[in-house]
Amino acid sequence: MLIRYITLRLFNVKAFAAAFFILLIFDIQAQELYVSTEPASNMPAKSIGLRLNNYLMPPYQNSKFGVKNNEFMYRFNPEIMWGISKHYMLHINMYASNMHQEYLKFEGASLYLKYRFLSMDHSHKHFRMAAYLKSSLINNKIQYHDLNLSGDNSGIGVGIVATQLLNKLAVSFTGGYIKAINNINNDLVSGQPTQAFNYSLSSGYLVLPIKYKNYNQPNFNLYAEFLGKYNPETEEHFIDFAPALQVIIKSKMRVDFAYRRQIAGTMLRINNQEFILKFEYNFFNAYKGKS
Amino acid sequence: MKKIILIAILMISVFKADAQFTKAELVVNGLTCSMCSFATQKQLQTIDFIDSIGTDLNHTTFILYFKKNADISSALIKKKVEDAGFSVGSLVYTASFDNVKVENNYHYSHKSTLYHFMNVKSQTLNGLVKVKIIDKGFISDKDYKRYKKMAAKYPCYETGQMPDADKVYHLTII
Repeated sequence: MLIRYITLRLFNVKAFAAAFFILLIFDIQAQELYVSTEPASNMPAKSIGLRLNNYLMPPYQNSKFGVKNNEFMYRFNPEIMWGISKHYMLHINMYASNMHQEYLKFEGASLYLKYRFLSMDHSHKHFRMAAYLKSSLINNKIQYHDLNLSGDNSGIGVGIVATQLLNKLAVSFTGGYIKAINNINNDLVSGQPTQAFNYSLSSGYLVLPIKYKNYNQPNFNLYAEFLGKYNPETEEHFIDFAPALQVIIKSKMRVDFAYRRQIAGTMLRINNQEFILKFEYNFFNAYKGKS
Repeated sequence: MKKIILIAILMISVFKADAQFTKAELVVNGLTCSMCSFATQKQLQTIDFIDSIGTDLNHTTFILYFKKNADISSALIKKKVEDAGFSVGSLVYTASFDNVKVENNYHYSHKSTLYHFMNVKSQTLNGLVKVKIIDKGFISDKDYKRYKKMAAKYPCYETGQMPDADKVYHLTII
């Protein structure tokens, strides 16, 4: 039932086919440093990354749900990333926003642990799989049905990521399950969903440079990502399309810009679009010791 | 005095029939961006027998230049590549040989590593020779299967170990 639902929803989207086709006709290389999702690949062992994630949401009204947000909303999400070994990596996230009150407030934190359990590398293709566990503790009012462990809900999430790179095409699929629990000081009330299935399909391309010269040359990457969610209890769903542009500087810094917009959906959400700006800096071999 | 001269001659002759590993061409699989290459290079830089590293980003190849008289560990090179999140596509050493006689299935000890020459003609190696590691994890699965058939009589190819449990690496001349 769920698989049928996902297949129908995903493949009904004309933009999906169009976007992939447009990107395929260019003679460009695949890339998998996705902006809105995580690939199955891990960051290198013994490296530490710092990321500043910024989310800006324009005013949003939805008369059907009685949602009326007249102001821009902003969420700030600093993230520390740690490559523990070639199999494990950990992200620690903290969240602050004005999304549930009029002022910017510290909302809580989340942990994301990824275990890469399959890696089949060949010269121009690879297939990797990973499993992840995410948990979050959040102190916010529970007002919406878009369950997430990235600032709005306390809970636990598990999932699988599969990334296939084949010459010019790098496709990544994520499928996961989220179980929300009561937020700190705010309980889930009857009628609110407590579970969600999340899924995504991402594709990325290296646009520049056409020929590498050295590590200082900036890389420009383009991404097309589809992100969906389904609440089995309330039978609400949505699918977002999130194109992104990425610049890699000096082979250790990343600047990502994405625009995420709902292209189909029935879910009670805080917003249906957002601008995403991320800054990332990586320290490779940040420390000595066994991995 | 005679003894000393004899020992000296013996030492020179032992020294003569030797090899010096000078560099390696390391092809890494699974790399897609300059950030991945850079992370791999940073991992490789932590190896103490490597003097410097050159990079061919377009072919995801690293040229590892070794320190003089270095005791090379192929396992460590492989580990560093894997720690960066990738895998070894191929590892070809350039070694300067001095009067080393080899033949098929000849075992050759260099520093702390034992090498097993496979698929080679009987010859005396002199000067710069390129040798390729052909053990599992250093070549493609297809090539590994091919060599495995060839080495049916030599279980050390599959196990990577001699009967006395010493680690052995398999080489071929290219």
